[in-house]
Parts: sequence; structure tokens; C-alpha cells
Amino acid sequence: MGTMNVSVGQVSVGKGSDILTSSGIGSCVVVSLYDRMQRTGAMAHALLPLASAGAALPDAKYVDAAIDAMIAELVAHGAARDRLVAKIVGGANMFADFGSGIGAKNVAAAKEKLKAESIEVVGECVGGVLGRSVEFCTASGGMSVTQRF
Amino acid sequence: MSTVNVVTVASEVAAHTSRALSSLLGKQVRVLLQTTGVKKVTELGPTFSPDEAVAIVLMRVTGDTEGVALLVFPRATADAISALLTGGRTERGQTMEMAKSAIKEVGNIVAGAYLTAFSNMTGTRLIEHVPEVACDTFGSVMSQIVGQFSTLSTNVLVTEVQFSLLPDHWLAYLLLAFKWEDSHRIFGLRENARTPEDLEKVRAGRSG
Repeated sequence: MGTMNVSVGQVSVGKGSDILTSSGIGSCVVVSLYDRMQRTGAMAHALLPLASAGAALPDAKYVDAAIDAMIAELVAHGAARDRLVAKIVGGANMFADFGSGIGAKNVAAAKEKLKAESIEVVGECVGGVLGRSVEFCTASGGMSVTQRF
Repeated sequence: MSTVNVVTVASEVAAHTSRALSSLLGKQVRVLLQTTGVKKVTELGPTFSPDEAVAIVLMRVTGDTEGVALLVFPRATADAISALLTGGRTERGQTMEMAKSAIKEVGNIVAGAYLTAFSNMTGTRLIEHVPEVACDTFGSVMSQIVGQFSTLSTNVLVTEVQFSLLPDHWLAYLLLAFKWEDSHRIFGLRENARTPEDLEKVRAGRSG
């Protein structure tokens, strides 16, 4: 068993009793994909909605590119693409009047991409004004979300 | 900016904010600023871990460039300063909102004074916007700022701000970031930077 922290712009894959964690999730979104039969899951922590719309940052910083990377990694680890289900966490708006709703855009981008990939969203904890931390257990597919404030 | 200019800005802001906060609190508050230089956002790790609880006052900046000024209060500093400003007397249920309002006011005073002095010193026209405050983990708050301003440079001017109300001291951090294309010019500016003597001439010209 191992615990792996997934930072902004990263994608990690876990199997069996691995735990994938991520913290400091404000307007970012964390997306998990899970194959229950293989007990294999992946988690990504993305900063911006769409790769085609942004600056030259590493791909996994973008929601759509991060989901593509997760699917490819999971299939490479033996997961079945048609068994994958998703959970989405994050997309908060930390400042009441600031910005153009980057959090909501991240969540919308995740849902749109998952729909395009025919992956069902089985759980979500999104929006609001508070940051979040998550723990994703690849043995069960369960994800716990905590808010500090 | 040259070292002399950074020190001059810090000194001007310290004097102004000490007076403003002392007047606000009715107690002798001393504010000291020490600019530690331009750092990469990724180098702020030793100062702030992503999970550290903070209150961050954000002041958006437009004008000759675009950027943000952030005053980052570690939890202990935020608690102490908000208690001082509210007199520790807050209605049940209103505590968080009053504390945030108090922190925003202090952030407005410090960041506003710094931007004004910085603007004068560098010859860069900076328009300060209404401040906002968020209380959460450093990583959560910064992710929105980085996401919202992906055009901002990751070079950040870092200034330590020490609030003293003897015998107690509390630290906060002022971070200043501008657009990629302007950041190097502003932080490395020498040809357009004004010396203290230049500033005196400008002031004399205005008063005359």
C-alpha cells in the first residue's frame, strides 16, 4: 500500500490498497476515474479548463488533457475503459467578487469532457467558497472530502 | 528595482501604515517592512505550505500593467490582528465576517500604501481595485489566483511585514506579481526608476 500526493498538474494511478491524496483544492478540480473490477483508479488535479484555450503550461494542468491522460494511464494499467466511473471535487470560488468564475468553468469542462468520453459521474462535491482536500482509496473507490474551515 | 528603491518604498510604507493602524486602534502599532527580493512562486514553499491556514487579502491592479498585490496573513497573525481591531468583541455567528472585514481593512491599508509608493518609485501607473479577502489553505486560495491570472509572471516580489504591539509581534507577507511581459521590466527597472531625490523634485514640482 502506498499513499501518493497528487499536486496541481499531476496525474497519478493507484491499485489495490493505494491511497491518492490531494490538498489545496480551491478553484481547481480534482477528477478521479475508477475501475471497480480491477480496483484501479487515477486522480488528476487540474488548474484550468481547456488545453486549447490556455497558455503553454504542461497538459495535465488542463481538465480535458488531464482526463485524456488518466484514461490512457488506466487502460495501460489494465483497467477497462467502459467500466470507468468518475468523481469530481473542487471548483470553489475563493473570492466573492473576483475573477470570471474559473472554478465553475473547471467543473463544467470536466463534466463536458467526461460526457464526451461516455464516462458516468457517480459523485461530486463542487462549488461553494471553501477549499477542499481529498483522499481516494483505490481498494474501494471511495473518496473522502474535507474542508478545513 | 534597485535595493535603494526597495528600501525607500518599505520605509515610506512602514511609516504610513504605522500611523494609520495606530490611529485606527488607538494604540501604538509599529509596522516594519523588509523586502526579501523577487522569488519564484514555487520557491514560496518554505514560507507557506499548501495546507497552511491563511487569510489572504487580494488587491487587483491595472494601469500600465496588470497584476495582483496579496497580503498573506498566517492564521495566528490573522487571529491576533482581527481580535485587536474588533476588540475581541464579536457577536456569535458574526465572528468570521467581522474578522474578515478587519483583515481586509488592514490589507487595504498596507497593500494600498505599498502600491502607491511602488508606483511612484518605478514610474509605473498602478490603479488599485477594491480588495477582497479569503480565509482558507494557502494552496486553495493561490490556485484560484494562479488559475485566474495565468498570464501573470511566476516572479513575485516578496516583502515581510511585521506588526508590533509591544510586547507582541506578528508576521504577514506582501506578494506582488505582474504580467509576464511587464514583470522583468518592472522588477528590473533602472532606467525609469526614480531615486528619492527624483521623488523630492516631483513633490516640489507638485506643490509649486
